[in-house]
Amino acid sequence: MLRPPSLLRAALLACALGHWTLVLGHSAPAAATSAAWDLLSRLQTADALGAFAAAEGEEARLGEAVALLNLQPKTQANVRRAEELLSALAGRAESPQAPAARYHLARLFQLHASPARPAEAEAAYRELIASYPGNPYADAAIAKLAIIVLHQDIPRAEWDARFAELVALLPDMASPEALRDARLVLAGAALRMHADHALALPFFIAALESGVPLRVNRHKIVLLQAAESARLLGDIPRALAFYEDFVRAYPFDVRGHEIRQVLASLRQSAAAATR
Amino acid sequence: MKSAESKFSFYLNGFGLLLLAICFGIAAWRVMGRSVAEADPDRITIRFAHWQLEGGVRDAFNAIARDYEALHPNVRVEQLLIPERYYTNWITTQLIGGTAPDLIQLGNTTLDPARVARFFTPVSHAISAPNPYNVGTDLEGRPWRDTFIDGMEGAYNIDLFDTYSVSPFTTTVRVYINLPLLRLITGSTQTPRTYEEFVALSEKVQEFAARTGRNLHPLAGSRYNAPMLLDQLFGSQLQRLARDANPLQDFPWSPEAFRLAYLEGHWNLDNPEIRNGFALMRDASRFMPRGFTQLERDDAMFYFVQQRALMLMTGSWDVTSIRQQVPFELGVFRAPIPTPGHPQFGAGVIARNSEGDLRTYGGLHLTRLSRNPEAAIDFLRFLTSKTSNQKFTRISGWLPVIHGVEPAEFMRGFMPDFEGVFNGPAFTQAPDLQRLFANQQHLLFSPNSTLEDFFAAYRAGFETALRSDTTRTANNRSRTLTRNDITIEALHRREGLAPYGPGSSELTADLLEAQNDLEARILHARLLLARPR
Repeated sequence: MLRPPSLLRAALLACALGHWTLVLGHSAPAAATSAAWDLLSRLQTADALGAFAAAEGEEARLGEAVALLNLQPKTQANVRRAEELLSALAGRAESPQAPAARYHLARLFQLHASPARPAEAEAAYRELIASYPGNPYADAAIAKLAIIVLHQDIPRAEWDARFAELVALLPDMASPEALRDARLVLAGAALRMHADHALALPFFIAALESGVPLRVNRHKIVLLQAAESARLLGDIPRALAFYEDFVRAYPFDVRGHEIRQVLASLRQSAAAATR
Repeated sequence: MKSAESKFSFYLNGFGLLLLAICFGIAAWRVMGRSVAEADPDRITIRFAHWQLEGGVRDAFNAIARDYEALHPNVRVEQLLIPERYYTNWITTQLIGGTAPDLIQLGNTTLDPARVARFFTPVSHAISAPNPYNVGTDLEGRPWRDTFIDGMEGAYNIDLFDTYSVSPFTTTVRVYINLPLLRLITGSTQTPRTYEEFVALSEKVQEFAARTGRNLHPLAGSRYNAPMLLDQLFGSQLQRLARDANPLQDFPWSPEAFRLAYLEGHWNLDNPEIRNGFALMRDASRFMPRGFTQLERDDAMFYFVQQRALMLMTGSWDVTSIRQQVPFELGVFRAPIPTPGHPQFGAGVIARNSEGDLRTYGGLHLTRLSRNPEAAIDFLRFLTSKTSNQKFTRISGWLPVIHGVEPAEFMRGFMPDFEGVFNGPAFTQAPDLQRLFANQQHLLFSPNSTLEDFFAAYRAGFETALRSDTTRTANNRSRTLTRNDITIEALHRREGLAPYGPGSSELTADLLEAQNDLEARILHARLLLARPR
C-alpha cells in the first residue's frame, strides 16, 4: 500500500508525464517537419521527402508536395501527386496552409507542368490575391502575376490596362518587401517591353525610397537604372542625385570611373541649363 | 659463382625489406603524428585545398599560414595542393566520403549549385562586419566585403543567392613584350598605347624580319591566346552600340543582353559596328603566325620564349613561369584598342576600355564538414587582411584583391585599369556562337579568302546559333528558378517563417527579389525567341 506522500509523488509524476506526453505529442511532428524543411533547404530532396511523408499534419503535406516538385529525376507522376496534395490543401480555405498551397499550385502550373499551363497559373494567382489580401503569399503572387501578364506581346492599350490593374493592387499589400519587389517588376517590365522610362521611373524611385534595403548587387543596378531613366527623360537634377547616391554609397565600385564621367557631363548640362 | 649470386640476392632482398620498413615507419609516424595532433582538444587544425600549384602561390600560402599559427598558437594550418587535372574528382570523393578539408577552392564550374549548397555553407553572415585584422590600417571599420576591389561580387553565387567564398585571387590579361628586341627594332622601349601604334610596331617588326632574314613574328598566337586580344578588339567596336541598345542600362552589357538586343532588332550582322569588329579581328590576325588557330598554348609560349615573336598576349597567371623561362627583360602593356579618331575602326569607340568588370575568382569555400568553421572563417579574414594580402602579393607575384595593397614591382603593369568605358561583349562567350566562329574563322583569318567569304558562311549559321545559346541560357535559368522556388520556401519554413511574412525581411530581401528578376528575364527571353522575324 502506498503512503500519502508516495501517492502525491506518483500523482505529480503522472501529471508531469502526461504534460510532456502532450507537449511531445504536439512538438514532435513540428520538430520532424522543421527537420524536413532543413533537409529540403540544403537540397537533400529525397531525404526531405521521406521525412515529410513520415510526418503528420497539413504543413508536412505541403512540404511533401513541394519536395516532390524538386525531386530528380523530374517525373509527371510526381508533379501530378504534388498537384493532388496542393489542391487538397488549397481547397481547405480555413487552413493556415491554404494560401501557400494555392501559391505553389500556381507555380506548379507555370513552372513544373509539362506542357506549362499559363492560363491556370494566372487564374490561381488572381484567386490567391483576391481570397487572401495582405497574406504574405498573396503579396508574393502580385509580382509573379505581373511578370506573366506583362511579358506578353499584346496591343499597347491592353498592356497599359494590365499595368494599371496591377498598380491598383499595390495599396493592399502588407509586406514592404513584397511592395518594393512588385514595383521593381513593374519598372523592369516597362523598360523591357516598351522602353518606357516615364512609366518606369516613378516605380524605381518608390522602390529606392521605400527604405527597405535591397541586396548590394541589385541596389547598385537599380540606382543606375533610375539615374539613366531620369537622364533620358531630361530630369538632370534627379539623374545627378541618383548617380551621386551611387558614388557615395559605393565609392570603391569598379564602375566608378565611368559613372564619374557621366556625372561630370550631367553637371555640365545642369550648369548650362541654369546659365 | 652460384653462392656469390645468392649472397648478392640475399643482400638485395634484405636492402629492399629495410627500405620498405623505413618507408612504413615514416608513413606510420606521419599518420600517427597527425592523429595525435587532431586528437588534441586544445589544438585546432584548419586544412584548405586548392589547385594553384604555381611556386609563388604555394609559398605565399605557406607564409600566411605560418603567420597565422604564430598569432594563434593553438591553430595549425595545412594547405593541400591538388593538380587541376584531378581536382574535381578529388574534391567530390572527399566531400562524399566525409573527409573534406575545411576550405576548398572552387571555380565557377567545378561543382554544380546543388552540390555547392549541399556540401558548403555560406559566409554571408561574416562579410558585412569589419575584418578585425585590418585594425590599424586605413581599412579599419570598413565591412570586410568592401575591402575587396570587386566588393566581393565575384564571390556571390547567383544560383544560390548567397556568398559562399572568399578569394585572394584575381587576374588580368596583358600583352607581354621582349624589351631588348623592341629596342633593337625601334630604337626605344616605348610600348604601343593604341591600336594604331600596335599596327605601326607590328609592321616595323615584319619589315625588320624581312630585312634581316630573321624568323620573327610581331605577335605569338594560338587558339588559346589569340582570342584574348581578338575578343577585346571586337568588343571595342561595340562600345557605342552597347550604350544605345541596352534598355535596362545594367552595364557592363552582358553577352545575354547583347543576344536579346539582336532578337529585338537593335542590331544585325550588317551593322557597321559588327562588320568593323570582324574586320578589326582580321586586321590584327595578320601579325600572328599563319595557321595560329591550329596552334596550342605551349606553341605560342615557345614562339615568345625562343624570341621568334616579339609579343605574346596572356594572363597575369603566366607571369612567374614566363619570367623564369625568358633570358630577356620583359615588358607588359594593355591590349591596344583603336582610338575614336581611327579612320576605319574609330566610329564605334567612345574611349579607352575599362577593366571594371574584373572579379575575384576561385574562392575558398567553407565546407559543412568543417569541425572549426569559425576558425576557418577567421583564417580567411587573416588571409585577406590588408597586411596579409600585401605579403601574399609580394611572395606569389599575383595581383592584390584588397584595396590599397601594392603589387610586386614587376606586377604593376598588370594592375586593373578602371579608367574608360566598358567594351561590348564578344561573340565567343556563348557555346554555339563560339562553335560557329571556330568552324568559320579560317575564312576570316586566311589571306586567301575575303571578309565577305567569312560573312556569307557565318551568316548561314548565325541566327540558329544565337537562338540556341539564348534558349539554353533561359532553360538553365529556368531550372535554377524552379529549384530555388522550393529552396526559398524551405529556408523560410525551417525558421518558422513565411516568405514576405513577419520577421522574414532579412531572408526575403536577398532571395525573392533576385528570383523575380530572374523570372522576368527568362520570360522576356522566351517572348523574344517566340517572336516571328
